[in-house]
Amino acid sequence: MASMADFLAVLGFVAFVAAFLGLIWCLERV
Amino acid sequence: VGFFWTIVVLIIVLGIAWRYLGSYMAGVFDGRVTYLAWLERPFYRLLGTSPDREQTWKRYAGSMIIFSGVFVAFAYLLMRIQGSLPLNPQHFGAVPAPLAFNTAVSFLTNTNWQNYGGETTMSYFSQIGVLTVQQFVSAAVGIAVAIAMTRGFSRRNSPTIGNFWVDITRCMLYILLPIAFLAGIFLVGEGAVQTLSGPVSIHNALNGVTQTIALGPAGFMGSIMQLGTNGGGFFNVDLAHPLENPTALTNFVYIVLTLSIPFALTYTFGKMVGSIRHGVALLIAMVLIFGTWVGFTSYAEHQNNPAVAAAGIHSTVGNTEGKNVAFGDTTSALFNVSMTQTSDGAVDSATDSYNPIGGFGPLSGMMLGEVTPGGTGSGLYTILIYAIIAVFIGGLMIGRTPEYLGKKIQATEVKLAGLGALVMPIIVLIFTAVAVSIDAGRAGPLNAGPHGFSEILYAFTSQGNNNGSAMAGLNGNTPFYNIVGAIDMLIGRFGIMIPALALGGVLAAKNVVPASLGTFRTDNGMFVGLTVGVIIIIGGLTFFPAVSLGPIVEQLSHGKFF
Repeated sequence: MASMADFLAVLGFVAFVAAFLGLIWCLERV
Repeated sequence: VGFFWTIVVLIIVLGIAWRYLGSYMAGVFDGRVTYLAWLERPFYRLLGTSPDREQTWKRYAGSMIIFSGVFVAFAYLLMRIQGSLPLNPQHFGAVPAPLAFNTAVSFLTNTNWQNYGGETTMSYFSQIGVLTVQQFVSAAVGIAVAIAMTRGFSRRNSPTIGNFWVDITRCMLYILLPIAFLAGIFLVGEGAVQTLSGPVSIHNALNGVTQTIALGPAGFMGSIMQLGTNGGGFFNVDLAHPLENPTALTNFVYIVLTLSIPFALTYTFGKMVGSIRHGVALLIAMVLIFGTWVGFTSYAEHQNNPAVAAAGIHSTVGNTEGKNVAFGDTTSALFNVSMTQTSDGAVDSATDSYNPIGGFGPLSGMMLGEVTPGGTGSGLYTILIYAIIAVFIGGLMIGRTPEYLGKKIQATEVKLAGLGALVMPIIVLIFTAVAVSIDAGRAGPLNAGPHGFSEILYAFTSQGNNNGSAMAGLNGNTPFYNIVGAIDMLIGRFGIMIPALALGGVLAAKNVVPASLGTFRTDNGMFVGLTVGVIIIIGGLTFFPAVSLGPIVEQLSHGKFF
């Protein structure tokens, strides 16, 4: 059974991908 | 005498690996080695790509992040449902969510920090299908990034730095799988256990005690965990377990497997940029620091344990607490330094039982950024970041625009290199400061005082460097350490990889400036000295205050430094 913790973990993975794609976007402009 | 010959044989074997494995890897990534092209093609069809479709650094880095995001999510999912999956003779239930999160990130980032005991938590399916798979994949990603950055130096006016999917496929098929397979056969032949049978119970009729002996597919996992500088073993005690590291010979082979690719990549670099001398310069910088740390730590561990000496017992075999006598004090120190100066982190002895200044060896090795020789790929791309800073400082000294391999090092490159070099110390120090400031963090260490501080500092240093070595004196399986540790590992990995790829992209787009009399040479002793100086100064200046509060003050409290 998926729990709140699983939901937060998935959110964490999405945040990881978004954050580092964001870093790529930023470094492109350095 | 045994330690002396161990070093001699190690140098010979690594020298051969440096020359021939290094050359072979250059051939693989240049597309000159093609004997498995028939096996590559189906993967490219599946991924909708081909070696001809090159990527800019942004696409390369984006592919890596998407790929990593998918893999980490799958790893988490499989650990959460392991109770419903096959190959689970002990009928383990789901791995708890915070632990699964930490472990998925840990193996994705090549860290292999383990807040769990393998034989009491993970099903065989999780060990094989999640952890071992990640050990291949994370090593391949690290090597791919190093190669992509190398292309930045070897290409001229190029908008692209290779194809991520092609690089990891080739790395997997030509390098990691064959070597890991052959090494796995050897390790199992030497006595490492490799079975899908469940644990066995042994009853000792003399004392009436029944003992459970954990078994499992440990031998082949040991092979890739060392070759890929992963370090996360099948068993809780890692390579201190006799069923994964049964003999002094397997201990030696594990050291060789760990150091081969990181050292050999300097030859690969030299070959790809068309100047082996430049590869040799990086190799010498690595060897100087690595050799010094091996000597220092081995000497420290060859001394009496101060607590044992205080009890009036004089040991003639050094500090043997927490060490396998088959390996000995000095070779255990060699093993430990080899694992912490790479990003491996495996242990064959208990670092927590090292003499305080002996424990300083592996800790400070990680603090130097793991570039001597560093992890598979991560060692090369990180030392190239340091080399760029060294060239920049050298250029400032002689008042000319700095160049490395004919590429002008300008403001953009220095900003990216600065970011890459400072990410790790920043996160390690901040997370350590947070941990010692709040109850959830202070609840982790098993010791009070400076030793307890060392345990926290060691944990965040290890995770921030994607090492995974544990001092074994910290309970990390708490929500605080699982989650903050995972963030530490992610930033420590991708916060350096992305600037490294950006550097590769920026440099690949540049033309080469012909060398002149005023050019600062980057293949001689002066450059090696400058690079070593930059590595030590950055590591020393950023971490010395923290180290003073931990191992140094603890050692001084014994009344002597050595």
